[in-house]
Amino acid sequence: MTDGKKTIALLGQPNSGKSTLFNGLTGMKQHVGNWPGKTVEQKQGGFTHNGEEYVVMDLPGTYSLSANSDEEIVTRDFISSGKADVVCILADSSQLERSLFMLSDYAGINVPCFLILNLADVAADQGKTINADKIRSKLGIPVVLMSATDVKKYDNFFAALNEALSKKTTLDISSLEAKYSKLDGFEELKAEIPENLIPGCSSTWMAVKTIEGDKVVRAKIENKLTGDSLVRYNSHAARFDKGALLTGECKFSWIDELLSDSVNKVTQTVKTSKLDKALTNKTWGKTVVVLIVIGGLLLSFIPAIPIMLLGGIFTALAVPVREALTAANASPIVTGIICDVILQSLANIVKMLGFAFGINLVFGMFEESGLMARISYVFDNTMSKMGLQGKSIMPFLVSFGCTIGGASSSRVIDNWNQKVLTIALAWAVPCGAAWAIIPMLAANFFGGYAVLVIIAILLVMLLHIWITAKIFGRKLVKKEDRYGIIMELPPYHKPKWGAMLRFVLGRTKDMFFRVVKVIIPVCLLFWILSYSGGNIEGSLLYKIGKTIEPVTKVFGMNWQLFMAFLASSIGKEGAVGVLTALYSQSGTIYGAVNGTNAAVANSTQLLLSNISGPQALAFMFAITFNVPCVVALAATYQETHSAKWTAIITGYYTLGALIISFIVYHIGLLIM
Amino acid sequence: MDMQVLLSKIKNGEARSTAMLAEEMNTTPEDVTRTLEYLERIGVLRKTELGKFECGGSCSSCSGCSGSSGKEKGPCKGCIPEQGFEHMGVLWEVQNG
Repeated sequence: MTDGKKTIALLGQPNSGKSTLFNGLTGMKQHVGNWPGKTVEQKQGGFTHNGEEYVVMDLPGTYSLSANSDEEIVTRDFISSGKADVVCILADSSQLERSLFMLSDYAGINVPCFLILNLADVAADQGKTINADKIRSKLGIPVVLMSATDVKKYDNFFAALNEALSKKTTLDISSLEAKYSKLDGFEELKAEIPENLIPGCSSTWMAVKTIEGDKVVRAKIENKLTGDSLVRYNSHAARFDKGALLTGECKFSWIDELLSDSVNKVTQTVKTSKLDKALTNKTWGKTVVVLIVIGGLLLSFIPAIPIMLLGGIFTALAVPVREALTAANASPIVTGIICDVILQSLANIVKMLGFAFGINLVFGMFEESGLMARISYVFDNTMSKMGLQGKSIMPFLVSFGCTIGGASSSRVIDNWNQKVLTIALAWAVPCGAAWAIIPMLAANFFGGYAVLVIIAILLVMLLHIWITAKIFGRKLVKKEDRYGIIMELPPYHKPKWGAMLRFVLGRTKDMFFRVVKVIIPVCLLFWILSYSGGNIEGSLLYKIGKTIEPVTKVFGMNWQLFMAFLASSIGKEGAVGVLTALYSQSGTIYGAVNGTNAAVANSTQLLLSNISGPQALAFMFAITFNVPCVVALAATYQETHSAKWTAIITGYYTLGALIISFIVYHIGLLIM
Repeated sequence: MDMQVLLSKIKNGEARSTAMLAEEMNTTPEDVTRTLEYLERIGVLRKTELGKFECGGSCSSCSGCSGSSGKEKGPCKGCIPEQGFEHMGVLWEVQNG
């Protein structure tokens, strides 16, 4: 009591409507400060009702009364300080099974209280009928079903407040105590703790907190007990391992009994949809998911094709521009840079963006609809078997867009070994640049069979991840460090088309700038290195390339392909442009000899006439599984802080890409 | 619900949905959810909300991230595409041992 005013403490979990009630009661009469010695906000207010003045303390919203946080300690200390005349406990009527936990945790505290079942309107909307009188008869305290938002209907609240204050109503916890009594050793422990050893707290409450391992309560009890009593208390307390599990079960079971005949709800049978049944099926769930992903890739081609055709404008533009420049006696270098580097790069960029747009749109739709969560769920199982945390899924998903982001996002993984393993595996996920280049190349070389190439790449990705996990996992993650995962699948959503299109267009725009920044400089560099005034054989790149060609041919790559492969280590976006630039130099020679420069202006024809099917296939696999890019390498070093592991991962991927290229090339030779 | 049994099921390294777990434990998904929440509060389980992914706000290494998300307490724009992963669900996990 403060100066003759009664003090009400509002207690409840976050979102139980505590602040709404506080505001409803106090209006503008509020004071906000901090609890002494804590950074926790203290909200105090007042109101007058029927000539009686009241002080209201809005206690911090906490889940329970354990000493896990400053908020919980402040809340608990205030209640046991005796400053509150009555505690008003709030619960969310729309989810009483969860929100009554605070009441069960309060059980055993002797400060008078009453219960507000708030958000009654939400519960009614859910079709719930709550019998507050039945709950009251079980608890022995006033219980009010109300909506704190409706300030005109606070009469029942005031009636309950008056009753709780005048009758000093406390919770009847006999049925909960009966449950605690069944815990082996509970009664012995409780017998050692005198009532009110901590003011306002029953021995039951203190015994429960002891079992739960509450250090603050335990220290207070140990301070007050002496001699044999203290020894016996400590010895009984030591019998409980993971006691919070036992008391938690008692509390939830008590809540269920309390609600069993007091709440009627429209029983909604949780029906697993046919799609969910198929996706979560242990035997063929993975197959269904793979089919959905393939379907998604096929769908991606639909929006991609018109954009890809737009890219052809730049290719077509190269012919008149070259003619005009030649007619104007422009230097061959300027003509080459404009036609072979800039226009060809722009043509490639637009084609790449077409696929990037298509894939982002389709997979964005999967994500938005909740399907992507189910896809990742199916692979979570495998991931946990590989010894990875659930959080590892983020770097993988991010890596589909950009490996740099993937490596950086691995920082949420607190275990260093698992972080390194996650990054090592995330490198195997083809990034956005690969998803832009590969479909374009595949469509150019194999037409309709491009889909098969993409499927093959996806399957190799899975195999790569599996093998890499075996190789790296053995050293990095021990079997005992493995995790189990529970996933709450989100409900299906209808995609919001406007927001999604903005998101996809935004990503495509980002990609455009990123790609331009990489492609044009890298292409220009390789073009210059391969330029020697009309005769490519005089260029530095040609000499180096030709020298190592006998070795690179083993992997299915001639010197131009190998140079483009090397360029892909800097940034995959540059690989196709470099290839075009190198072949256009060859084209210049060809053109010079035959006088038909225009004939080779089309980069697609240029590549098709110089690269065989098996070579193209080997090249595509090589660049997909090569080192993602130099920035990803830097990000890996930054996250692992290990030059050794960054070097091991880089070496492993370079070698891996060449081995994959070798295998694919020889399979290609057999089937084509 | 027997929380020890629930934990032993999670520890075996398999992924499950809350609905599947509810079916296995012969209870409702709501009961499973509140129990998982409780286990998270007492520090037995770790919860990851994939849509509320936070990078810690210092990832200047990834493109597009100014490292300001730590202050904003939201998904990092550099690590996660804007508006991305909002519907990826929630994960709970427990370390064996």
